[in-house]
Amino acid sequence: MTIERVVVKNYRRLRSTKIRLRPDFNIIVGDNESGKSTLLEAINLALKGQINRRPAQYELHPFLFNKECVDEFITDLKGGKKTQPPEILIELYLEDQPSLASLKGTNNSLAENCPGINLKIHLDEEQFKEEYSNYIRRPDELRSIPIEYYMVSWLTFANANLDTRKPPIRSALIDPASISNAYGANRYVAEVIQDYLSKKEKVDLALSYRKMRDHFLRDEKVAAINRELEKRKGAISDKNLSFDMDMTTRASWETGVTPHLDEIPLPLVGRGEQNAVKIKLAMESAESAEACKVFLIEEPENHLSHTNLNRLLEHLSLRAKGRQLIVTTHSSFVLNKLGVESVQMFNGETGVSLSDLSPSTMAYFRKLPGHDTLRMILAKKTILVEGPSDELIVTKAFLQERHTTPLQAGVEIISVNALASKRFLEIARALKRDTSVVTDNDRNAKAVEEKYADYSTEAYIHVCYSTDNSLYTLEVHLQHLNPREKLNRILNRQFEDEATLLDYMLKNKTECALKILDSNETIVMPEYIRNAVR
Amino acid sequence: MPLDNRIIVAAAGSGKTTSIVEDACGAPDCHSALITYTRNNTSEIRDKTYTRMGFIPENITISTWYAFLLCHFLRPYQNCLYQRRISQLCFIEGRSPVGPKASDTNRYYFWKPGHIYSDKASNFACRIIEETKGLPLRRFEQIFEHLYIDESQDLGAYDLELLELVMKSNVRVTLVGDHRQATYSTNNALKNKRYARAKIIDKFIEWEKAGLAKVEFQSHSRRCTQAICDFADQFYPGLPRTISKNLRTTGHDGVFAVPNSRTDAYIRTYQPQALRYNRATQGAPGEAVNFGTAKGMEFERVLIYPHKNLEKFLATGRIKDAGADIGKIYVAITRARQSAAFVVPDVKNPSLFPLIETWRAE
Repeated sequence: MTIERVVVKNYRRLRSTKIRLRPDFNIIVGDNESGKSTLLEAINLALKGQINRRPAQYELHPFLFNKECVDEFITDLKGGKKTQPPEILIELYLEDQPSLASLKGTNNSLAENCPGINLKIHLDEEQFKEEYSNYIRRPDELRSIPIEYYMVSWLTFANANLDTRKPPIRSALIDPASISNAYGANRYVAEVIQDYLSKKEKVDLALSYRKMRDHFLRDEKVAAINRELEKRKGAISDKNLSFDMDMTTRASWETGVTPHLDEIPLPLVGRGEQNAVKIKLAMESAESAEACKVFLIEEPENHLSHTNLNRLLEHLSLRAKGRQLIVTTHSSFVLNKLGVESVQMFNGETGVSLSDLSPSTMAYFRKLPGHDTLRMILAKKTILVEGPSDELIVTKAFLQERHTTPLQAGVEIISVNALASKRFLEIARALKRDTSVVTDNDRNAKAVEEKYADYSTEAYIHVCYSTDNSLYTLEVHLQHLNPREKLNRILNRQFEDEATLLDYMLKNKTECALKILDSNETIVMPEYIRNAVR
Repeated sequence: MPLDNRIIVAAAGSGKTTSIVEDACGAPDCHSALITYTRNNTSEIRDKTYTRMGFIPENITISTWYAFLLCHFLRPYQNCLYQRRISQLCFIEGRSPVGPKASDTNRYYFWKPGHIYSDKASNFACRIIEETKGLPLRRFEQIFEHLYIDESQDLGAYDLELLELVMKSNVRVTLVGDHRQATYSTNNALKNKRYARAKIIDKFIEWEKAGLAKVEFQSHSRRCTQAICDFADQFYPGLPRTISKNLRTTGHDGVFAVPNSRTDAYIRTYQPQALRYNRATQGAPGEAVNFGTAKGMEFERVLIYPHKNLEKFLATGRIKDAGADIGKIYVAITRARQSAAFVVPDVKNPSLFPLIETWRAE
């Protein structure tokens, strides 16, 4: 029971988005503001028909609509162009399996025959045709869309209405942002109970709760108070005043009953712990038929300590079988833990995944302990260099060319050995990441060219090296370009001739590179390096 | 016949509805749809299911024919022919406008956007099946294993085409009905007009010949006494005699004529359920149930307020005097377990009503 594809139109930041999801883990990464959280929000809205945990119809506001789309609409109207009122569309295409057949049909924007859910926020044409035509009559006064004439349609692909009390797919959203007050926290907890308990257990709890209310009324002291109050009829009101438990539907057991951890009410426990508990509760209940099938988790690293995050991830990877996880993250730790093959590089329109990587590359990255993969995935641009000394020199070149640090510019300089660089380029190719490789020619520029021939046609991959075979390594090149006096000054040495200077540089690569970086003097850099940092 | 499709033609009161409810409830692993034309009969099926199980089992779906069409054969794949969601049916007595050409989808099938004419709904369903090369049927097969249709004599025109397609699919079909009780037709379109009303039996037999289903006749009635069965049987000569299994006696059993002036006394004595042809029928009390609506219902006693044709038949005994609506008359009479009485004019000569005994207050 998994979501195979998501289509979003005009929802907040997402103007037009199509993304395919994997049946198990999906780790959504992307630049800030690319709309990762909005994507989770949209999926959750279509799964539950709710915004802020209330039926979407009650929570509509103009800012749900994509700003560009609304602006275009208003510009069109002001320009006298007749146009359709904007609509929000969120579609979830589900796996075609018999248990979902009742959700099946072709009523979706791709006209695909599969089970699915379709949520639309659109003008209520039956009710407000006339009001709408009045509304657009004076375009100059328009600021936004007339949301009060809008309605939510929540349908299956078979065009049948859905009911927020019984969503077709059970899902859990773990987003720290929405627990902003006590009420939110309570609702949150209520949802935990809903997710975890079986139908029978829920009925039992409701019954006990009701029994307790009856007991309250039958209590002699309460009865005495109420008798006393009855005598004072007329003083406050002509009607009878008495005390009773709140019997309105909102005060049902869900709000009166709260889970406790070590006897502390869950809403008062640390938020991190709350979230961990919520995820685990939902996972545990997944054994039964009523189980949660889809988990949406927003940046788990933000509300968990490192140890808790580690424990949670362990738990997730062990127990997630048969469930779909959609996680947004900035953490290389999360990424490495859940597997680099699950990454979806999201740019607001679509997701690119690593599924095209060769199995051996995949295996390489799975073994890689560091965070270099995610550094590359999250960077605006990556420069791959051959070792620590090259890394320092390239950083110096960067400072000289761009007058800012690579970090501030969102550029990662990653040191990899020559063999591994092609693995990284595979990722760069799959995810369309801007990447430069800085490499020595080792006296054979032709060989370098051949080695990277596969990537020569990729617009965002640049292989930078010297074509002069005599300048076979970076130190040689630097020594060639810069006068001995300057290098002596920087290295704090007094070499009498070029040969001893070069010999020293080649034998103390890192130390020299550090001194070059720390120096205030400008160094003449090889052209290929300047190209790489531009 | 690959799938064991059955058509059970059974006399009134034979327990048709009960038998399909029992059948469906007895197979908890089989996803069954229990479909019938009228709302009354749908609640009858629902009541019987509650009585038997205490709840509606998850494997059972109970719905009216139109809701069924919308849910499984119109909406899921409608967008191959029509984009706007088909939100509801526009109920049509008789036939919807025939002016527009069928190719003019909007005007031929729809009263206004999203409102499909009830008499063209199954026609549209057939067109969707054709257009999508059977996708609604494939979907239906994934959801249900067994389709039961109660009061199947009410189906007509394109309903029969659609049903034939379902019978050819992997879903097992059981139709129960009694062509003698063909009072309504879900569908008054011209298609299949030669099988309209009681002649639907010919279609059943045709299906049997084509190997699509087996037709079974059941001619016993658990409900009505033998006298009531015999009286009702005379409207359909040529069919086997209905054998009553109701041997109970109450001191007032059989078919009676009640002179108009004595109806109050009769009602006081026996508290019968009043039945009338329709709202226009003279003299019937407000709480009377129309003949057509009474289908599927059962009462200890009924008091029938005849319309013109029925009155004429009671006087002459000639079936042709009863008019075209003998189905409804048959239904009215066979609602009763013990006694069916007709309100007749006060006349001096009781022999004007030769067929039945005239009730005299004790």
